Amino acid sequence: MSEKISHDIGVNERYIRERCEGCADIIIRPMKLGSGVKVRCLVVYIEVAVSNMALEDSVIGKLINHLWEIPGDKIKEFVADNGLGISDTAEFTEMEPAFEAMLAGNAIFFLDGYDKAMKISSKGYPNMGVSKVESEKVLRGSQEGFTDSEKINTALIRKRVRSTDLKVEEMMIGVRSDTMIALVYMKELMQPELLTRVKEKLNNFEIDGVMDAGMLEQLAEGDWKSPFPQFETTERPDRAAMEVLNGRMVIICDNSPMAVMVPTTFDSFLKVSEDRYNRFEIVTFQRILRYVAALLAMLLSGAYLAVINFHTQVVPTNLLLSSAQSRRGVPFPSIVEIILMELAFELIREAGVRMPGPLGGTIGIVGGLIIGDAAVSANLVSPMTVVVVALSALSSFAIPNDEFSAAFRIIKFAFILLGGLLGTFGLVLGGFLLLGHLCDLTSFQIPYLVPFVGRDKPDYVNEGDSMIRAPLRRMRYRPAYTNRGQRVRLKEKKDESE
Amino acid sequence: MNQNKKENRASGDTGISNRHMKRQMVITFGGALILLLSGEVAAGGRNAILGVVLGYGVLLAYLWILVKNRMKLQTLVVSGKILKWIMRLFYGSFLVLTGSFLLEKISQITKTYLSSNMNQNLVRILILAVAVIGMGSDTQKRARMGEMIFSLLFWGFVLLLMLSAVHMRVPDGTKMPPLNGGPILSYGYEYFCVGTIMSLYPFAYTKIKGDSNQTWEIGKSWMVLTILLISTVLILLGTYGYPGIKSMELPVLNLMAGTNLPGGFLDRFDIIWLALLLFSLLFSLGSLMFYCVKIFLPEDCEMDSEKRKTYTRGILAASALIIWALAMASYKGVVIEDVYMRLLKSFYGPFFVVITLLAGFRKKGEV
Repeated sequence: MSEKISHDIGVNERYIRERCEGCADIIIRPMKLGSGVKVRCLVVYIEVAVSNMALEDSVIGKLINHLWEIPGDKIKEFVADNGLGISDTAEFTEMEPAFEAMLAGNAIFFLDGYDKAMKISSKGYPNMGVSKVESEKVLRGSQEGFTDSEKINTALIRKRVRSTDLKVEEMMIGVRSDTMIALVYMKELMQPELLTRVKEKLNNFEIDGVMDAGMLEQLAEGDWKSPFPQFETTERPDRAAMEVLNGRMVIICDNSPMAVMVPTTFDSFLKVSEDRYNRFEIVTFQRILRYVAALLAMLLSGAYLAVINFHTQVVPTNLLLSSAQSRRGVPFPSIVEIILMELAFELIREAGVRMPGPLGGTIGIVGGLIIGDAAVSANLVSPMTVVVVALSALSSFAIPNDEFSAAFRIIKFAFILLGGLLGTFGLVLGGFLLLGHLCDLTSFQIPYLVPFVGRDKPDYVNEGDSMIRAPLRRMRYRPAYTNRGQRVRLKEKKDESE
Repeated sequence: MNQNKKENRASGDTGISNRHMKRQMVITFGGALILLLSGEVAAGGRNAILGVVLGYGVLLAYLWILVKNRMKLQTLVVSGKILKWIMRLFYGSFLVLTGSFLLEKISQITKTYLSSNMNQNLVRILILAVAVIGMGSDTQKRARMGEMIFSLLFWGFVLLLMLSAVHMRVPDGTKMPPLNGGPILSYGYEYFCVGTIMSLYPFAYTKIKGDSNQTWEIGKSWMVLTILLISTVLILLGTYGYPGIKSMELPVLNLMAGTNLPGGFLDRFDIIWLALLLFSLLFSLGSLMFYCVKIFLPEDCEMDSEKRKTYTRGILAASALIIWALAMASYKGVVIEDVYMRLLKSFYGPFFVVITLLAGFRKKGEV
């Protein structure tokens, strides 16, 4: 059971000092306030998280300053009368929540003869502040990105959805890290069972620390063996706000600039936020392109091997002859050639990501062009292989979500082996297994392949926002996972008056 | 509108709708019927075509009885100590025999057209493993798979027929055998017997709520299948002529090889049709093992989920193993391919009908 806050500030101070022994960053500052008779008090805070400026600027900080002028015997009465009326404060009767508040980056104020502690709100730990989006760049729409503070991130969503129906539930995860998690959702729009299921999943494990939303994802995933992510991430507050309006839940983890969204579907990974801002014709074209890219990223290399090793009759004779000629002198079988090139590409990608700033791009160009050209000149690989691998790589970049794209990149190697060793037969076997897996996959009981499946559901309505995006004025319904009875997203006022 | 959709459901507990059921039926039977029956029907000429139409008519009547008695049929595999095992063995033996017949056909096609250098036994094992793992035993999953691949397979096949129709001429009726009641009845009976496989459907959709349209819903699936079959037969006859067809074993594969895409950017793309066909056949084979689970481990059996999972895996593995063994088996040179249709026409088909009729006499709720 948590320790009660004592009337005697000496007892409180001893407890705090004992508990904070060896924590040089936690400042325990005793003071004596009041004119005439001095009253002992104590402010406890983390050095960097609570600046002196914050203490002076907060209302309670000003109140403490005022206490210097009040007679000591009136201080207790003054604090009791005015303390709780202050907007940025909270009272604690026990040590544990007081410590939690202090460790969350606030200052805690203790007063002798008063068995409660008060939180002095602060801006909390240092963070990067709102910065420009890095991985989900768009030409149209806000450039604001999430930061690594949970409070700022929830505020960025609230800024876009100014409704009290937008609920923000906070919970702590991590036995030692006490990481703050915020569950953000529209109460009316989200299926109520989703909240229960998410809480169950999050409370289902006990871990010492959660450093990023990625850890939450992996722990709470239903099918953890699947390469396909069952949580969708975004660093864009506008995307998160839009999804909240679609009846999804956004989970924000403190210290992570990525918000995760549930439930997730295959289709949602191939959407970007500006899909809503642009005209439907171009968005439809781009979405079809992304679907084709996903297929190519996964199948192209395997299909190439199947054709050149097993079914050469498919290729027109001229192309076949020129392809065979280009392979002359290459010492490796085509499957080894493809695997080598794919691995080289993955190396270039990995090196490019880790390299700082503009050097990353340079690595890509050097790796892609110079090494590719040199490999062809040295007869290590054929030019056709370079074309196939480059197309496959380009396709994987066209998939908007990196985690989703990674699934295709991994599966691609299985298809390379199947296509290279068994031909089309292998590709069909792999395709059947993959389809079976995707049909089995759910995200919080929503089938992964919605809206391509589930058209038989009683309340199914075509939302017009799948591979083909309808004109905005025809996108009248929310997705299938929205709360029943709340499916209508858009109404024309003309319709209402009729 | 929503209310209508709610009523249009085949099963409340599994969440499978009539739409799902229809699509699954077309995929499960489509590939196998077109591959295995089209050549035979084409070789039978107009008698066979009329026989198929007749068979469909009789099948509709049988479906009406089947739908009416489906609840009572479901109880047969959980009734009594001996009866349930007799029923399970009867239906189970049919499933594994059909599975081995199908497996043999798929492995032959794969070996001939897709992977000639591979050991046929390895091909069999790979096909079985993928069908059983890919399909599994979950009703919802199977329904989603059906929904996902239906459009691809159905429209892919329609495209094949359209591209093939370009090369066809009007079939020359003079070279075909004259109309004769005997062959019409014989082909009709054969098609009806193939359709009696539907006797298994009540086991996959348990606790079906009363839905008077179900006969018509299943009937529509078979109508689509019958139209596809007859269209294929007509195109085969128009493309190769009656005498040409008689010399081909699986003429639909020749039809696939003969199609051309406008523009000619691919020399031959029969490989794409074969891939689609293989997909449909894998679905059919997986469905047979799926039904084995539904018959040997009915959803009514009370069992904790872990135990059910273990039993399900056991049944799937056992059925795959038996299918594989039967596909390999040969008795005095007779293999499953030689006896399957005879068994269906003289034993399983009639018994399916008899059991369905007898089930109708059982008292309601009798277990």
